[in-house]
Amino acid sequence: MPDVVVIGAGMAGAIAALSARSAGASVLVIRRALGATALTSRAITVAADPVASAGDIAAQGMPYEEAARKVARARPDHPYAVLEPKLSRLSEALKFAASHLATLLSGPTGKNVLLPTPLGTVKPTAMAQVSQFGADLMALPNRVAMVQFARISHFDGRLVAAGLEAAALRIGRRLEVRLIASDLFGHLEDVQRSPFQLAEAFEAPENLRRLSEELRRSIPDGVEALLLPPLMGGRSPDIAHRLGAMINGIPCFEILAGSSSVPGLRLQAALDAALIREQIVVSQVEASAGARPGELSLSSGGHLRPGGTVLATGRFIGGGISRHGAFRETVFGLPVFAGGQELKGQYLGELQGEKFTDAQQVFRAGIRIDAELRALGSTGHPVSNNLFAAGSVIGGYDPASDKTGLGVAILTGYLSGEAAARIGRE
Amino acid sequence: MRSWKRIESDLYLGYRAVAVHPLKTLLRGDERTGRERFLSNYGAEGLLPIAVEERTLLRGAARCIRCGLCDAQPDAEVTRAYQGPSFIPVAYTRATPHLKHLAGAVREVNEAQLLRGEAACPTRVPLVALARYLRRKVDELDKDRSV
Repeated sequence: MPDVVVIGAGMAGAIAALSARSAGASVLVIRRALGATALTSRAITVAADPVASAGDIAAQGMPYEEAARKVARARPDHPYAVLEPKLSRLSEALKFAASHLATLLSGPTGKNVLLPTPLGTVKPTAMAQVSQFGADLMALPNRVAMVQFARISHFDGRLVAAGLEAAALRIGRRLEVRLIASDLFGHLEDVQRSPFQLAEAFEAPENLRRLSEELRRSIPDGVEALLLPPLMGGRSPDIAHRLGAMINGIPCFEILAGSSSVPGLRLQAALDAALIREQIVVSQVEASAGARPGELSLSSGGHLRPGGTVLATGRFIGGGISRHGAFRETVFGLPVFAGGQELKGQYLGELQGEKFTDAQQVFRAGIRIDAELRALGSTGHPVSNNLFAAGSVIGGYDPASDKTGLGVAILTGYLSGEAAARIGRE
Repeated sequence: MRSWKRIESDLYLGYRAVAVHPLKTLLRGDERTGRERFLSNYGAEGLLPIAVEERTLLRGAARCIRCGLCDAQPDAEVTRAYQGPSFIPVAYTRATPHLKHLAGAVREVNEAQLLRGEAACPTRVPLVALARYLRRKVDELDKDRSV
């Protein structure tokens, strides 16, 4: 019987498992399917200044622990507020995650960098993949080029270029972004291929060579760095770097991804590899509460009574929180909260603001935890001393929009794994 | 209080149901059932009957969020005819008028690939069952047209 069972293998679940393992516990991870971790842009967003306006780009480059404390003060429901005494361990948690993902991630450096997104904005980010981290708006040279693959319509290099130039103006620096078109994906079928299939093409050295030859011919004079769509390799994290070496050493960086995220899948693969390295078994089954307290029933027919359980099932995409008329937490039936109230079948419209910029409580729905990361019941008390939670199954924040998503996943995963190991080994 | 227009239209409906429809049925001389006549008129357009259990299955297709993770699985190939696993819930199961054009795509589906896609799918879209549903519908269409 494992000391700790972690339900979910996204960022929060994987970090919880690795944390429990490093605390000496035997760990089993249960996973139903992939979730939101495989879909995110791969920016590890920890916190950004919650009171700065969206246009105040310079403010977004502040130290992320300071930003996390600001978030905790401004948003009492946010997990950072609940875990405020433990925010001093945020850097420790990030470094722990980085140590297990060293070939993939760069950072943390203590403060946010500003990375370009496919929507023409910049995102404050504590860590990112090695192929992305150097595209920091504060650190890019004055003249860069953006590569656009002709016929690939799901990525618009002009939007990225214009957005970067506008963001640079707002922080008072010069930046010129030239557009270079590549005909590498010139066949009709390429239009239909998903980003994953296009990215896989770059695993073949022949395609990388063809692209480097094309770019060598077309890079304008004076360009000191190349920005690339987030398609540079389905599995290898260093393809952008290798491309740069083939073009006279010019630095090449991927921008962040949108949906259908190639870097997202790389991150998930790296987390899976980290679990394997630590000899943590990942079982693809579904879990539900067993007949007895503390018991788990598995869809494979088995039952478990671990010493500690970490619930890291995610939110709507991962399936940890569902809504069919009423919101529910899908494994243990824990109460779901939003906007300071327990949700019991409220009309969805009451949880949404009319304006996009309003606080959308429906997207902050989730379970509650205490300062020890124990899942809470309706009375506000822990349902059990050995049931912990991590990641976006916890409510009070919107991982998609409030720039704290993976930071919460890493911090809560790290701390809950540690706590579950302590209980599980007793 | 119902409006006079509403009362008028209800009376007309009643007249069609009680008087006109039975007379037409009697005098039509067409022994086919309504279902047979519908299929004869619309079957060639791919508007085939959908059973209750098939409608339940199609709700599974509606869960697709077009994340593309099924397309990212190994060997998820794209050809001229078949555009990848994600097209099954997003496009093929909704394209009943174009069923006859999907026959090629449906035949190129590899169920082992789809199983891998299902294992990755965050929202449990039943890719294999949907592919089999499409094949059934293509076969029904072929059968109808050959009658």
